[in-house]
Amino acid sequence: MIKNIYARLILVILIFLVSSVVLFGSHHFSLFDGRLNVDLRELKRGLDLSGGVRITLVADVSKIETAEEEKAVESAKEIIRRRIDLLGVSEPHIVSIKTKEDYRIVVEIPGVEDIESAVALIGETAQLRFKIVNKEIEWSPDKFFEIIQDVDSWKDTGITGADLVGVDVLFGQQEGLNAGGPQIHLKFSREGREKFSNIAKENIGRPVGLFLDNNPFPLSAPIISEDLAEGIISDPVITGNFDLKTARSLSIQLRAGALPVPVKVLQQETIGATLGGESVQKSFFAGSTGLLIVIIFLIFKYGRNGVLASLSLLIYTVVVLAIFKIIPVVVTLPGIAGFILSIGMATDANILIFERIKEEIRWNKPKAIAIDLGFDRAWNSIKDSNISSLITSFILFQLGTGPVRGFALTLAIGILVSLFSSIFVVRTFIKLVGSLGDERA
Amino acid sequence: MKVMKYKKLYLVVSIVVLIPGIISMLLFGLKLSVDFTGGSTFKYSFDQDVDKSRLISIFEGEGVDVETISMQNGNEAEIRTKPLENDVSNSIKQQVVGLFPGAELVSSQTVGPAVGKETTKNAFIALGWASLAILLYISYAFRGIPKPYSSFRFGASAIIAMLHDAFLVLGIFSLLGHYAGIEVDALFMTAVLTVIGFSVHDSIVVFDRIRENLRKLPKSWNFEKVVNHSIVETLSRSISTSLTVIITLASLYILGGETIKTFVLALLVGIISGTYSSIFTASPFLVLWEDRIFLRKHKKSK
Repeated sequence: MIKNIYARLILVILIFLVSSVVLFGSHHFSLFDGRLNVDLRELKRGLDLSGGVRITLVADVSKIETAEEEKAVESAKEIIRRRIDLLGVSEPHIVSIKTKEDYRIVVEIPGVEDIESAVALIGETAQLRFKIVNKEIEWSPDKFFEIIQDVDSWKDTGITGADLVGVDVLFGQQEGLNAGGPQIHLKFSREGREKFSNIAKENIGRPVGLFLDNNPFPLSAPIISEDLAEGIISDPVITGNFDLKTARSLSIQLRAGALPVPVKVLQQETIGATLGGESVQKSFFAGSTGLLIVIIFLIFKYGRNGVLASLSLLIYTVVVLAIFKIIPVVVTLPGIAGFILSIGMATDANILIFERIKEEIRWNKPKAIAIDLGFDRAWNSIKDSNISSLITSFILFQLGTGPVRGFALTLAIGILVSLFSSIFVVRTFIKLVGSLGDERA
Repeated sequence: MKVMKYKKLYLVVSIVVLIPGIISMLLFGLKLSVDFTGGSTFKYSFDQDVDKSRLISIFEGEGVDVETISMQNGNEAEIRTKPLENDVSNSIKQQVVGLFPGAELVSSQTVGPAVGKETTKNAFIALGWASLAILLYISYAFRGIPKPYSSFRFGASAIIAMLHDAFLVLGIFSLLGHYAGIEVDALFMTAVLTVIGFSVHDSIVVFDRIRENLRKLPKSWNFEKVVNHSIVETLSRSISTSLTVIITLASLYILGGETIKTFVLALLVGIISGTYSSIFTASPFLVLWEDRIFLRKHKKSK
């Protein structure tokens, strides 16, 4: 590769510095007009570390043409993301998975503990339809309940939630059942407004029914006043006997749009943050202790080379964590385990090299040549064994699910970086120390 | 050191060590967690000591059979049932809180059985593909070894050692499941698959040295002698590497979080077995196999 020892050293230092900036910095910026977002504020932690809820949904695509299935599931995913964003909680992690039998959407929301409302929020389709009472039916306020509760009296207008641009929850002052309670105010788009006005003008004094999803009864059926029809009162209002929480969740669903496919909850999990937090701290401490003992062992067994290998392990750790931050890799407990195991493999590469150097010296090779031979000849074993581990992690990543994938990803990244650190970095250090004229060791 | 002198004995030991675990696998199988079986798990914590039977009667009142219930410190209960509908588990939660004020649902988990079947299936598929891919890779990477030795036999021997390690871990956890109640979850699968990777990693390092020595050492040396020499040469490395990995895993096991203990234990067993098998399973197997082929050819030529 690069022959000049100082060029190599500069490259190693450069990579270390860039990785340190990435790892310890807290930058957040967009490049190329927001097409590339770089968020280095923190390592993304998985649910098992931060706590929260995980909900697995199965999408029912039976009513969708095969060619459109994937698109429908993707847009369902986006709508779910929008709903959670509108709720204003921390960044959800949403993935869609295609299995042989069905489509799944896995939603992970860190920092949320109320699983019921999370499921209710994301799991329901929310398609609002505006209907009017059939022309043939004689309208009279006395028969209000009789008419609105009869499925046959309603006629679809073609106006839906898609014609809305905004939904707000306000507290109304109107008299009636729910005076002073929360109301949902609808804001039409310009075309929606036009469509609504046309229909409203023909139906002054008659109710307009607001139907949610396939519910046969209207959610609300305000009477169209002249003011509403003429656009003097700008937008209709949904009133109903609901509390603030329901109103808010309903308005989020309406705003985010309807799910293009019905979904069913397959699995839901609540993961306690304290459990995760304690476990993480302990495991982090355990990992550091293990690493420290390994370093002591290396120095004890291989002397100066052991020190250099430990130094490169440090660089290795910083580079790997920086890569985790950039990609970003969602760090989970299995992920940390994969990372620690890759440290083991990085160490193994160095042990292979050092043992080989010892052997070459034993076979009466001059020390400088023994070092080169050690690196060159150990490379075969290192290459073959690491490639086989990479193959395993690749298969795990392809066939595994959730945490197993996280483990495979961190292991693979770790192995790749370990090839750089245990060969390029250590070799640079050893050559450098050797070229400084220290021939004693 | 004549390590390979007792090659048949090593293989017998490898098999004997496997037997209790395999019998246990056949009799009891593994103690599977909800990841595999599907079901609901509820963890409640209480601010008082709680009578198990009163808790169970709440579940039974809703027509739900409690499969297992385990109490920790008298104020924490983990209850496992068949998969429950949301409204049933909510109603149970309300009753529990009603009966034991201060009770808290720490975690609840419901896995549909479909996930379980698929997860298991995926694991076996992954194991199959990994074996095949590694066999192909070794056959390819070792294609340059001198005749009459075959790179395929090197690959196959590594796979045999790998299966030995995988089944040893499975067997030991079957025993642990039956006698100590240790469950295996999806993470355990990760561990077994890692053990497979490590096992092959170790075998390859030894095989690599055999490949090198087949070229370097005098032609008069027979295969067994070459293998023996290679093992002795790589012994220091094998011990050092295993020690560093075992140190890391042991500190994770002793000091690490509760959630990864089973996982780390599985790795620990597997790594130790992997180091053992690269020397005492893969190599003797390879020697016996190559010797057999050699003898057969020898007879033919006579």
